[in-house]
Amino acid sequence: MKFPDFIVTRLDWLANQARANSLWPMPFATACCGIELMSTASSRYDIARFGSEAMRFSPRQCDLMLVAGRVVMKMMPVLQRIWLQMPEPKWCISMGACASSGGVFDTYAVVQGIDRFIPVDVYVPGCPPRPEQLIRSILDLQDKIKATGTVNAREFAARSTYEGPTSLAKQLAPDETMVVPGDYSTATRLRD
Amino acid sequence: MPDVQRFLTDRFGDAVTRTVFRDNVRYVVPAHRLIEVMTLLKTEAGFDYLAEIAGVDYLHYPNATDRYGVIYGLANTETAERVFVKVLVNDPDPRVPTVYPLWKGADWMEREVFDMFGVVFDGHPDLRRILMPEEFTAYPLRKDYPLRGRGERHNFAPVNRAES
Amino acid sequence: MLFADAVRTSAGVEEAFRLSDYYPIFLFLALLVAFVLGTLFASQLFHRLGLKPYKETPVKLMPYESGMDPVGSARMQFDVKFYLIAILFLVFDVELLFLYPWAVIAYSDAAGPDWRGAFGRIVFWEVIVFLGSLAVGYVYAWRKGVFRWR
Repeated sequence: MKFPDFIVTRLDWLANQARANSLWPMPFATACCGIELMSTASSRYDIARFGSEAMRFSPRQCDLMLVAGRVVMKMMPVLQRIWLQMPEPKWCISMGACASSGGVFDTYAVVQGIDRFIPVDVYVPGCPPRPEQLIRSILDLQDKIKATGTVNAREFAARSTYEGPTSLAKQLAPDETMVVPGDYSTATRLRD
Repeated sequence: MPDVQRFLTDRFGDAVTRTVFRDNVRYVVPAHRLIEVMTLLKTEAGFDYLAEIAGVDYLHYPNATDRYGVIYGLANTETAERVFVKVLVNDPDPRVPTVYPLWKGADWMEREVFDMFGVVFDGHPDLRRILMPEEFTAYPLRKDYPLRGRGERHNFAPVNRAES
Repeated sequence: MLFADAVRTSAGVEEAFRLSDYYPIFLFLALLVAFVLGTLFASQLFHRLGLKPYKETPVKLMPYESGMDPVGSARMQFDVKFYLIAILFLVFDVELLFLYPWAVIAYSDAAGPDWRGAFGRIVFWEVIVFLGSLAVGYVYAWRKGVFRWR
């Protein structure tokens, strides 16, 4: 049903206010940034006062995925699956240097930035970022939602292309590149 | 410590080579005598604790004779003695018998050496990769494997915003 | 007007039961049902009007098990201690439910000559007997080891 635009914008505004001020995080804390995430959530640097009242560990009840910490190749399918299991509308904050770009770990096992595999909305630099930086990133995300959000998540349909980095920081020589089976799906199975 | 040395040279003679560096004593044992030496060390010399199994790749090491080494660090929990047993194996088909029947803790440590170096442990109950994903085909800690890998870490399908 | 169950108190005659006292409870009940049905209805309505994000994918519909493939059946045996604690809670909660109305009116005019006074004295002891029998059950459950959280 096609509503007049002014009604849709009012509804967009209302939905944005509601969603931005109640971003429930899904803490995907894999490493040291998880400790800073915990301290941001506790009483001194409370993120509950910005609406992130409940850290739900089930993706079905969250709308913000906070990837805190380095993500290894083996964990990538699990991360993608949890991202896909979150209901719309959802956003992702990549907290810390390791989640944003691999950090100091430029090795065979660490993914050089989760934005190669997951669409990310806000990046937080730091190793680990101070709680104030994480709070700033949540506020920035709230501004982003209020500026570009829609009630039926139309703004996501336009982002259908890959948004991550397009080249390796150090290109491999052609004789060094080897394509291995690119489906680490055994990582999502507990038993063979 | 001299007790262990006399112990091993009495029983095994030339098969066991003893080297010392500062206060670190190593016994180099051929792979086919490993289980005998380990059984002796556990049952009679009292080394009841297997502290570590480490793998080494001597590819670019000066004066190296064999490519891979598997080093067992044993400890005596009563006398706080430590001893290191080293097994050297070579490239086509590096195989070492497993010490799992003696120390159950060897299970995952041997899996790690297999995952990182490709050394196969004969008789291991469940020898598969432990740190890398199952589909990984290379052995990362070998000296001829590049630090950044060969592109495996990015070989996964991305998810974009519209389809997630 | 005198009803059959009118009572004579110090304030005069009053009815034993007034429906208008319960209007807030009916209002509360109505609001409760309206909220539940309203939110369910609003969710469907917004979906039909296209005002809700909707994306059903196979991965989104699969059961959540920390990102892994689900292992085993979702229906499994659980320890009986959970059941025992729940049942005990239920029993003592219902006991409390009985105690609330009694506690409100048991001590009013307990020394009075009319039926309220008698109510206060006799019923008090009846309720003590009721509590005592529940206490015996409680001690029995305690000694049986129901509260041992293994």
